[in-house]
Amino acid sequence: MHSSRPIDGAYVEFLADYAGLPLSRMRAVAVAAVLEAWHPDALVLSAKMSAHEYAALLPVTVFAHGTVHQDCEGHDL
Amino acid sequence: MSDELLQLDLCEAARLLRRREISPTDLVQASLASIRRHDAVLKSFITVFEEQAIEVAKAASIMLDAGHDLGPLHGIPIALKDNIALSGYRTTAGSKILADWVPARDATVTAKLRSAGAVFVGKTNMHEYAWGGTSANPHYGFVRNPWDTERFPAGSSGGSGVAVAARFCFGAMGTDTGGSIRLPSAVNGIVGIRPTYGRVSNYGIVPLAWSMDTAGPMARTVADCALMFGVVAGHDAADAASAGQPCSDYMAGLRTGVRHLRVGIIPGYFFEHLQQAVYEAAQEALRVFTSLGAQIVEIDMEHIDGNISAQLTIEAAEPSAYHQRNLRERPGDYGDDVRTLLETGELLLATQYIQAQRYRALLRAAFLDAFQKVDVFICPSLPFTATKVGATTVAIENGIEEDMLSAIMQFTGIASLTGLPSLNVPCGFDQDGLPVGMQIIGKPFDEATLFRVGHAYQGATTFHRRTPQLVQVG
Repeated sequence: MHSSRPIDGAYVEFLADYAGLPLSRMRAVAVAAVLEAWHPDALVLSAKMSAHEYAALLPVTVFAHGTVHQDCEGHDL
Repeated sequence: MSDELLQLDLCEAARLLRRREISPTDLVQASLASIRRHDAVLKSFITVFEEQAIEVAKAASIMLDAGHDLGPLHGIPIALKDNIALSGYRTTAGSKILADWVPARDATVTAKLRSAGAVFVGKTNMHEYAWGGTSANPHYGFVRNPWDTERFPAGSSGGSGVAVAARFCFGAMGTDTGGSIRLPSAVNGIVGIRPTYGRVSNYGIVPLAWSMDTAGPMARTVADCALMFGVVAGHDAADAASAGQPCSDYMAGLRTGVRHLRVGIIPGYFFEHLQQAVYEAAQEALRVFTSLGAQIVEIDMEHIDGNISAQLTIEAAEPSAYHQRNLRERPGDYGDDVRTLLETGELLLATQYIQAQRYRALLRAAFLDAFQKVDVFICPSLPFTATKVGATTVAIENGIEEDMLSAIMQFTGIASLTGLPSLNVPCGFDQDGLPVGMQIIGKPFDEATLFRVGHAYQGATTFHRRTPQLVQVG
């Protein structure tokens, strides 16, 4: 996975508009610098995680702990 | 006398209180006097409870004299990070937006500390909304490191780290999403624990990233930290992510030692690309553990590369969802750095976020598999010692400047992503006298082992006994 065009202020302004987020050009340039630093690694990670060997892997969620059955002192609830 | 009182650790102070050799009023007055003398420079507090804390301390003294002991923290001065709700007092989360927010109810951890007898002396300064690692707060002042006031205290719980290191209080609560308890603990030379995700309630705490947020105590010694942890840990029905796992008696096993303990290290990740002083301190810590009877086991951890991208994606996307409305209605009320990160988080792809969450499952499985071969992992908490206040980059090797955010969370983020508990313990000082910290990372819900290992280490070393020389003002 790779993106073909550089992430600059104009590009971020377009994306921000799509997200319904008003951004001045100055703000867009600041965000572009961060996105440009982060985006290549995010694409690498997405490519890794889209491999067939991980097809059954579930994302981590906050619901992972299951049913509460004991209190802090080990008594059944 | 008052400065001598503040040199006690929490457990010692609690013992002397019960023997009536000192009173809660003595402790709280000493604490408040020291804050008055020194905090104008350090800026570790946003709010100090001058009158209220004295009144509570007087009541605590009367109760103790009458034989009513509320619990292990009875009469002990404690601070709360300012993203933790305290009923009736403003809780700003280090932000302008919440500058006047007065919660109607305590956070669960606040209520538990209060029930155990803690006296709250103030609310500590922090990185705005906990979204950053420097505690350079544009609204309440840049927090400064007591070991060198030109240096940063790390963050986001920088105020809590400084307040404990400067002996303003005997313990403080922090919160940790990507490292926000362990980083300031390391940089300020104190102990702090990020609990297993779900072990300590987040109810009443202003969130950063829901799927990684935790809260935990910061204190001067491992025993102090364990004592506080026993108070705040446990299931809470008010927190949807709270775990129903039984808690241990965290003080009971402290003296069991580390003989035959299997200490895992990951040389290919945690012992590369770090400042020489940090490397040497961590290596020396491993030698200490070996001398205490532990066995060092090298582990080649699959999938560990990629963790920084996953952290940044999750830690950017979730706060941006929480702040979505304010970012549109009050964008100018955010500090520039936090605003930029929140705006960036709005533009990440949903698929990138989900893949990052799936990566966490992969990394967690790799760690759980490795825990069949080791009992704990040990590694530095961050690859460098305290940088200059206000710096946004850091030089780790060969004078090459790197982005602060990515650099600072590269070692702490592992436990954050995997949900594993991790304890920071001081393990040395660099050539400038700045503290170095190491993490002890454990199995899910096995905080008791972390405290046992950390306590054994502190029994063999004295780094935690050093005190910074504070600058006096006024």
